[in-house]
Amino acid sequence: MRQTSIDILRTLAIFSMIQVHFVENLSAEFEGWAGLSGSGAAPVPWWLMTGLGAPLFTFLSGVSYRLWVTAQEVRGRSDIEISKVTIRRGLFLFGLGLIFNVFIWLPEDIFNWDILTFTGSALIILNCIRRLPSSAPLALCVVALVISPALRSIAGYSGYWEHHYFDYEFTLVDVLLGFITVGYFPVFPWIIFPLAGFLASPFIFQMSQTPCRVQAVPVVVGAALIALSAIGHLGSKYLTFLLPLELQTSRLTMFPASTHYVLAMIGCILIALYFCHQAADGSFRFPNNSSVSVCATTFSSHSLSIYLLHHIVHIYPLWFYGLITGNEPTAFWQNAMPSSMSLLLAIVFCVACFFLFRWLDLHGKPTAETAMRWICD
Amino acid sequence: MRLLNIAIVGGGPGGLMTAYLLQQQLTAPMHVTLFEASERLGGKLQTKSFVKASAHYEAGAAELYDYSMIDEDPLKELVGELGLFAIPMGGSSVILDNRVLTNLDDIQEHFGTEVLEALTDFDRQAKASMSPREFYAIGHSDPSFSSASAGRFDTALQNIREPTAQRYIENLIHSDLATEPKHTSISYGLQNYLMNDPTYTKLYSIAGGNQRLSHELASRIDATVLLQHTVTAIGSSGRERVQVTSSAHGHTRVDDFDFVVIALPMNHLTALHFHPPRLAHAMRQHHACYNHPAHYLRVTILFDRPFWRSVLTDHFLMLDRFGGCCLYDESAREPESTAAVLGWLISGQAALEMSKLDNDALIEQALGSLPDSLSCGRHSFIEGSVHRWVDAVNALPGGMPPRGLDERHQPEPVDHPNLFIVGDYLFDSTLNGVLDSATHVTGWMAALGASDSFDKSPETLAH
Amino acid sequence: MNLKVPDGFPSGSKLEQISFRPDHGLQILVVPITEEPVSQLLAQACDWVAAVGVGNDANKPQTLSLYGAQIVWNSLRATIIAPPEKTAPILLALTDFFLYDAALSEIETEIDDAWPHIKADAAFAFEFSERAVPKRHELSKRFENTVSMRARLARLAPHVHWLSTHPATITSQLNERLRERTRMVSRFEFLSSQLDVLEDVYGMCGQRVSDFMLARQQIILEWAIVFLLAAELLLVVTDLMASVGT
Repeated sequence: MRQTSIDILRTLAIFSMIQVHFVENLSAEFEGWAGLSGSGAAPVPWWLMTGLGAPLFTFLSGVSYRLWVTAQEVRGRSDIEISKVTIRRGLFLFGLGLIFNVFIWLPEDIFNWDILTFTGSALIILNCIRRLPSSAPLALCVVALVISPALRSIAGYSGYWEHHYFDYEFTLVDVLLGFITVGYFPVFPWIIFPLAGFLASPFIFQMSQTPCRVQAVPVVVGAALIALSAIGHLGSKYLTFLLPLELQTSRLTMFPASTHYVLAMIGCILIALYFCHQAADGSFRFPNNSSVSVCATTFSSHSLSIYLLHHIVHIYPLWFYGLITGNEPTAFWQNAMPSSMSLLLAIVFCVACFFLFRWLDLHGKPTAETAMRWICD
Repeated sequence: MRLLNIAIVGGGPGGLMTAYLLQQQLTAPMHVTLFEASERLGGKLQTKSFVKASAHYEAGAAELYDYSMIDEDPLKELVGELGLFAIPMGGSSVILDNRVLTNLDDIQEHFGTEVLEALTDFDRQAKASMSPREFYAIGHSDPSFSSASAGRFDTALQNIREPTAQRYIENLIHSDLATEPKHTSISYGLQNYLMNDPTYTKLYSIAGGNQRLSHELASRIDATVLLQHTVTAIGSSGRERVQVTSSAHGHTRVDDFDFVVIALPMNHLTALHFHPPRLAHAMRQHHACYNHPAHYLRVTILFDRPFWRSVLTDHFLMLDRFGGCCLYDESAREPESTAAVLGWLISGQAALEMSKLDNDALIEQALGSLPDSLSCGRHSFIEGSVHRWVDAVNALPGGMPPRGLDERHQPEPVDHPNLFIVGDYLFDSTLNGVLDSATHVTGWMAALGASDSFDKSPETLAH
Repeated sequence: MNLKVPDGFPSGSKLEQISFRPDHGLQILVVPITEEPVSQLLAQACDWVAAVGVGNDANKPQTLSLYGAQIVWNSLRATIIAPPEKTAPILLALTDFFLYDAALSEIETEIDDAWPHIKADAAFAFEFSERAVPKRHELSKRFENTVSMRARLARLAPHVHWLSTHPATITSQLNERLRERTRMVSRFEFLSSQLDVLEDVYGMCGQRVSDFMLARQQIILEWAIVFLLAAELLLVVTDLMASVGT
């Protein structure tokens, strides 16, 4: 059973991603922004949109996976079958991510460890975690949170990001380090998001079975995480004796995903999901046939297709235009048009996507999701 | 191992039980011949029916005793083994001076607190002198085991200070004693008082009639049953064999047996001739030890309706007539029965004297004994029958002085180690007692039959 | 507490209300026999008793006749028709009987409520898994209920397995008859057998839960150690790769 709250939030994440990618890839240098590292040159609303999309998406992937596993178990599917499907989907996404990097970006970008390869890896990791005691995800989150800064430091993160994008040598070491800690979406610390989603799911979506005092836990935890991040960020000068080094020195950055960032994002998402669930799920406000539900379901259920399509739609014209004008394919990357135009294009794309995928659903046409299910299930 | 030839004299419960148990316990091959003088098997187990209605009643043994709440009850186990169903029986009412006394409250109401206290005192003393386990053990083990005095029971009754209470108890137990208190021991008298307490004994009858017990036993024994064969003499025929002389339809036959079991009522032993003199002397001594005859007289009447049920709903009650008489609601034995049958069990001296009267006179006396509140019932009379059991039971079962178990069952062990006696009078004059007796003898015979001391002469052949 | 006697019963009759529990009470109408025919009184008594709990087969009135006294009862009402001198001991016997009968019925009802859960819970008596952890409080509650029922049944035992007194009083005779009629001893044995099953299931569930939770704690500690070692290993490998890379 689909949860409207998850659809709504995932739709917001998709919108955020589309806006970010359209504006960043078409207009960032045009506008003179410092790029994705959030150096503060970009306006704050823009910075918020940049920061929320990926964490929200990866968190929701953990939530959805937990709900999917529970549903499969209720239907009597065996543990082995569940594992097989999960691993196949994980490998599918991982492989698709590699192929995507080659065909959308450049062949040498194959191992830049973007969101698709991370999501595929996360699925496989979650499949292993789900059999462990229920406190294992929490323990892993804490361990990941603690060792991620150390891993970045040991691996020399800044050395791979000198030009505000991930640049690596085509060696096994760099490939592995990118996967583990220095890539766009490395396992550490991004695995914390799907793990946190996996952990939070039963607290939020099985509230009727939990005592009242437990129902407010997500909000309390979320607020506590935001507070911890805020204390660390704002009070780092005065509380050096209390806070670990990472919290003292790092800022709220997405690349790398700093501890502040991780804590604050998880806190915001927990609170957002809790209230969205209260407001939207099982409520008369958003029945299944309401426009909000239909819109959210359309985008949420085609997130993979939209991810692939929106890159094709805004990246390929850039490469072609560069080639046509006799330049390098990447000549107009981040420098094609003002941000207002790219934002408008993003909105048009979103609207077009809605109608496109509604039509595809009504006529039973294949999408990336149907292909994945056909191959993996 | 050769075939053992065994004779059982008497086709009553004792003989049938002996034959049944021998089949179970004797491992050696055997052939059993059962001699019965009458035309039926079963002896005191007689369930009869009226002519004018298909209503059953017990003409002989009225009930069986259940000791299973104290210890093993072989008779109850046997009943179950034979596939018979036990119907619990009970009754606590005594009719005294035309007053119906169903419980202590009635006694206090009709006769006052002093009588009540006298009765409860007697009850307390009786229970103090004999616990349920002692009650159970009496007659089953060494006869010296008895915490009660061997004196006369009437002396114990005279200690009751209230005459009414004394009469109450006399009437309560007279039919069980089957004799007068002065003719029995304190121990036996107390036993018959305490058996009214469910913690000591419970009573039951067999669904379909107590006679079914003998029928089921008879159907299961593999024996040559000689009905209307009266055994006239028992003697020895040398080499530890026993000779039995019997007559039937004017013909006499003499048979030799390896074992003979005499399962006759005590008063029938005198009809047999025993030889040689040693055996005859032993049998006379045996008879003398147990010759304390007691008597029963049964008068059973069919009525057209159960007029007594509005007042009395028990299986039996005690009537203060004929020295103390038990009045059975025979039709209550079968809950679905629509018949109305009352049975008077007259005992002791009254039974002996009244047995001389003809049946009609007895029936008239029985009807006249009904209390005033039930006297209207005589107008409901349909049919009556009488059964006389003179000298049929023993007033001092176990004998006086009590003998050891082996001595009771083997009157002459020296020259006639293969001659045994089985009887209820050797224990407690009940079916439980006769089973105990049969069990003792058959166990003994099984041990003898399996031992090497038995003659293995090759010339002996089975009949 | 004396209440208003229903119409049609002779003067001298009394209506008493006896409460065994806050939610369960019994009305007993005591009618001394006078000149009126007993059969007429009996019919009236049956009607009065049957008037409550209509439609419920369990509340059909039963009758017992004992040495001139008539008793009509169901689980909510009873009527005693007896000579005046016998009404007091009969009332005492009836009250005593109903107290224990109600206690037995209460246990029967609780077992009926608990029985449908046995099939599902029996799986946990064999194997307890992580998925069943949220259920352990429920299982614990059911185990406590089972023990409570067993304890109450044990307290009832001396009153159910009630030895007949001799010489008998009318109170003891009535007690005996009522127990026989309502098959109290058989019901007690049946309840005991059923409780054996419940105890087996929930006892084993408790054992499994306890073993599982202990093992789980151990597993958690072990996994914590595994994670820490894995983290250390990862740091070492990263350091190694970084040094090789440079």
